[in-house]
Amino acid sequence: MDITAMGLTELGQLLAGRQLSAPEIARAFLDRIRLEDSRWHSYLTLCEERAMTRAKAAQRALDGGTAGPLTGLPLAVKDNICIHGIRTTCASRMLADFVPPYTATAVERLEGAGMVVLGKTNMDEFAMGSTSQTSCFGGPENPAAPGRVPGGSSGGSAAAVAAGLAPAALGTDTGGSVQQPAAFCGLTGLRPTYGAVSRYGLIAFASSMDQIGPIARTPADCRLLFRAMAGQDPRDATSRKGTPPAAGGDAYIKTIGLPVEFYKDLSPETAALAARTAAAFENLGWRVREVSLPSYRYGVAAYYLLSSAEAASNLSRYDGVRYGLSGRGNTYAERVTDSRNRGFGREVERRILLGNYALSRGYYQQYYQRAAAVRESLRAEFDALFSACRLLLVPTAPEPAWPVGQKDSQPAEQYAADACTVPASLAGLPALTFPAGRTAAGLPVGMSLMGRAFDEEALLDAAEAFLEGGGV
Amino acid sequence: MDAKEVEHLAALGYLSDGDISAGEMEAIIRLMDAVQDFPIRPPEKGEAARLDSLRPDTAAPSFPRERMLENAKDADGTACLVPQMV
Repeated sequence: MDITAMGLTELGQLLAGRQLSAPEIARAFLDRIRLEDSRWHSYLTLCEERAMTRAKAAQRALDGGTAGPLTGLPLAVKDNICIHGIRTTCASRMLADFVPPYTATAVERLEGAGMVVLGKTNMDEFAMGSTSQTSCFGGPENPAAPGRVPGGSSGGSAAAVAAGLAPAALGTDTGGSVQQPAAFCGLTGLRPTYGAVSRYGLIAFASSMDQIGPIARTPADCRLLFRAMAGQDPRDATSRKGTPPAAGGDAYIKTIGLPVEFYKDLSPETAALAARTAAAFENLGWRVREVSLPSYRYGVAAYYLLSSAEAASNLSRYDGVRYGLSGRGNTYAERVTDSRNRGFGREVERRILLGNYALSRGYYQQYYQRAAAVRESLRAEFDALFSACRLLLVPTAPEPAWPVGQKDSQPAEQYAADACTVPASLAGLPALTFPAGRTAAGLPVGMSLMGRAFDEEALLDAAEAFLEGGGV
Repeated sequence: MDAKEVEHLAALGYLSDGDISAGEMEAIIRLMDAVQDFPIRPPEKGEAARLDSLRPDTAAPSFPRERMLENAKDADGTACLVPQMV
């Protein structure tokens, strides 16, 4: 029995049936990480002793009959999510030695349900990127497509699950950073509705778009994690317990829209798999129809302007005084500048400059205000689409994973590759990526379902039905 | 965009190491220019940001000071220390 090849649901059944113990499961993953992660570089910090202690506590709960569905199951956590006492770096020199004084609500809830955190995973620095290669510790590689990027910024989390080094992981998604790496690694990943999962303890990138989301082998596993994490948190004023939309008539309930704009400029194999996915949903009884999202073409620009403006503000807290890398200087300004020059990598600096540009006098109206207007327009257009369609089906990315290093010198080209995921982020809507086949070269391709706010269960149901029906 | 403007934007963010070139920023701004032809309308009379229901203010204890100072490089047990600004 290969414990490390299983997902959460399967492991949970074996735990409940007493065929495995929680310490056995934790040990199996920890041993495999030690043996194989030098190849994938998916973890930055391993919490071996803490994990085994918690696994033993979980086993006592299982033996005592007080366990829940997640008790004793292991989890990897992206390294921008705080856990008290465990180094949390955001893959940045700025926070290389930072040890958080508190734990994120999402992790609190999952550990409270008995989950066992194995360690913290690699990522793009401060969650800014689509490859995870901007990590100051060196980027992870894609186990599902060796030699290629695992995607970003939650690439370490996706790589860990794809390599069998965790049955599931937490990532974070600002502009697609859960969905895209999950797709590149052949996994399922959920970006929840904005506000569905508390951001307390998530180190901020763009506060109006950041969300913590699960990356796992199946929609069922994502569902287990989402249900346990979600819900209003008094420590995050933007969190709320939303209600899913009221069910409409049969025609509405079983209608999937294909926004045509998402289907342009795809790689040929992505386009072919997208068409086969749509056909598969038709065979499952869904009515599939073409729709339009006219403001799609402004999405990438709007996302990068808004998120960079928020990032420039959020990252101004890193001055080396209260925490973080502390520089040298005879004045406060010299010291802060030295801290930030030495602490931040190139992509982070680029985003800060872009954010400052978008917000500066003379450019604010041209760029930031227009980006905000695009956002409102997208929300209205999505509202109109969801009055006629229950779900939307789109490619997760225009192309599969590219070779490591291929686009490093072309940041603008990398930004453009986020076109399919940023609309959901701008509108605050949930989106779920699921595996939709592989290219002839064996590269995973993902498709995403988008839904109305707080309709995550409908996305998960549809993806599950697709995969159980044999996929493409 | 020229080097001087890049320097100014960097200085606004307390950055100064010249890692990012004007050419790089120019290419990124060109991508951002996509929003230029998006029409924006002046706000209508009476239109304002709507605040949804807010939770009531509740007092809660702060984190212990010592815990918050654990990550500070220079601290005297009660506060973080910084060079004097003249």
